[in-house]
Amino acid sequence: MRLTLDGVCLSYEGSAGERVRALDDVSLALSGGVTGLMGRTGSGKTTLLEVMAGATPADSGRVRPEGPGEVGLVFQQPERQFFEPTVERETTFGLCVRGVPAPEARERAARALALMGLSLDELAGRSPLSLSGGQQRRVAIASVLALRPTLLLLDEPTAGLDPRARRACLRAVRSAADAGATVVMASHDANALAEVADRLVVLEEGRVTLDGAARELLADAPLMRAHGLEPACAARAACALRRAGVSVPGSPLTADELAGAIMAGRGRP
Amino acid sequence: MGERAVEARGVSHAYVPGRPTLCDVSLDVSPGELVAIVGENGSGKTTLARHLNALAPLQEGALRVAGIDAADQSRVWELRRACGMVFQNPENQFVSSVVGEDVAFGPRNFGADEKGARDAALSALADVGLAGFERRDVHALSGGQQQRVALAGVLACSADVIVLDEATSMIDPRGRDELVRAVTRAREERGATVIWITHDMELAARADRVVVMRDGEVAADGAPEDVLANETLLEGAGLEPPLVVRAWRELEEAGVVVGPAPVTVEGLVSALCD
Repeated sequence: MRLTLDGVCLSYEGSAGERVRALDDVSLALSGGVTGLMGRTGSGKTTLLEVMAGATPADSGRVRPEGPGEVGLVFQQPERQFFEPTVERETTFGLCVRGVPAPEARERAARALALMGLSLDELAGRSPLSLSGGQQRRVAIASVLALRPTLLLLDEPTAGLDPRARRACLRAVRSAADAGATVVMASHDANALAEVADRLVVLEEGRVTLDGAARELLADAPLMRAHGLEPACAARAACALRRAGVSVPGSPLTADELAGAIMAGRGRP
Repeated sequence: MGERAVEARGVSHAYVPGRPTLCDVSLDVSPGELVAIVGENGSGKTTLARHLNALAPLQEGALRVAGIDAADQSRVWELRRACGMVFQNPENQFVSSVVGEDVAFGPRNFGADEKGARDAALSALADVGLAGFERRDVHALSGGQQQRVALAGVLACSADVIVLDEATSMIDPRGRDELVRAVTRAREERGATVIWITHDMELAARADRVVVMRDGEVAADGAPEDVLANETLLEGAGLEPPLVVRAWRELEEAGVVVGPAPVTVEGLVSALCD
């Protein structure tokens, strides 16, 4: 699904009765790939995802989805929204209400769970609430993935996850995009976005202040800091090494790339 | 025994009979220490933390926190005062929407008079860098500020031991840094003992000690540079070494560096500049 936002503005009433501008003239055109959405707490990321999903109407501007399929929105801490007594019913609920026959719904839920590193056969009868925190998050995301949305919006999906659950989550995000979905992932985690994002959009006080290739932006530690964001760990290390006089060419974003850049700086292939 | 901030011996716990969440955990923490506890989701970290301030009843083993026997039901409130917790989602632990009232709730509940509770709240707010915030609405604060209000609530009760359970996972990096600075100050100025449960290996690398939990057991307990540079151990516990360690191993394999792996960016810089 393609999504175009044109001059989107949205404000709400603050606790002291003042108008708070949550989104200020946001224009974006999204078509495929993974777009990372970064910004400090309160910068408008969650509001933007809700507007993109059509869950919150904009005050002005246009939000235009084009193309077949539906929108999947994974809220922050989606595990708080469990309402079915078993994992099987939770993950097939969305499909069943859309009239998908039970065997197919089960098959699709099983695949979505497998993508998140979980087995429906093992968990089918368990209460979602009896699972560990990381398993709960993965079940909640799988419930949305099972719908095979063509626009997938995720709000801090990796927050609080252990490395195994985090890896599964990032793999699922990437594979949804590889299957043709347009994916937007809001996150504070520069290291996670370094692994999956093609494009990066930065919000500050409701305005888009950076929009470009994720690799280039995430690897630029001074630029990220100037926008109040934490650079990816490899970019921070490269920056600190350069300040100490160590040659680190290129824009490393992963451990492999950092090691490669340090070797290149020493004239090693 | 009373000299240790935490002394656990053979602590086991099962929420469902026959399916233990904690198995025979023994752990000592000295006063003023900062101990990071890492482990997969479901490894028992939170259950262990909940034992420290009697949120989970002691089923098996012995546990003393700040010199108080956790099995002694008559001292539960004393234990909860001595050991305070800061949880993942700060909004879940506020009892008032006004910052000063929320922070004063603990001391008032533990018997302080109005003035005593208010003074304790103001002093704790100053210690977490939120002096002047007492009339603010907690829900209008940033995530980092909210976590510092939660920390102030613990400090206002004069807690000796502070347990932070994934306290940085829902806040942005700036909020995390604010909380880390406030915790550091509490250690330096109040001599507080800190137990920090986290998935953030960079944060764990800054602790005095790192404890690794696996399947309800303590799989390792040692200095960050020993524990976090041990890939086999971490991978066995479903964890990943810090990025700096992974990069170092590649450099080591290529014959570019020798010696123990650094676990922080600062450590990497000094290792490569030496």
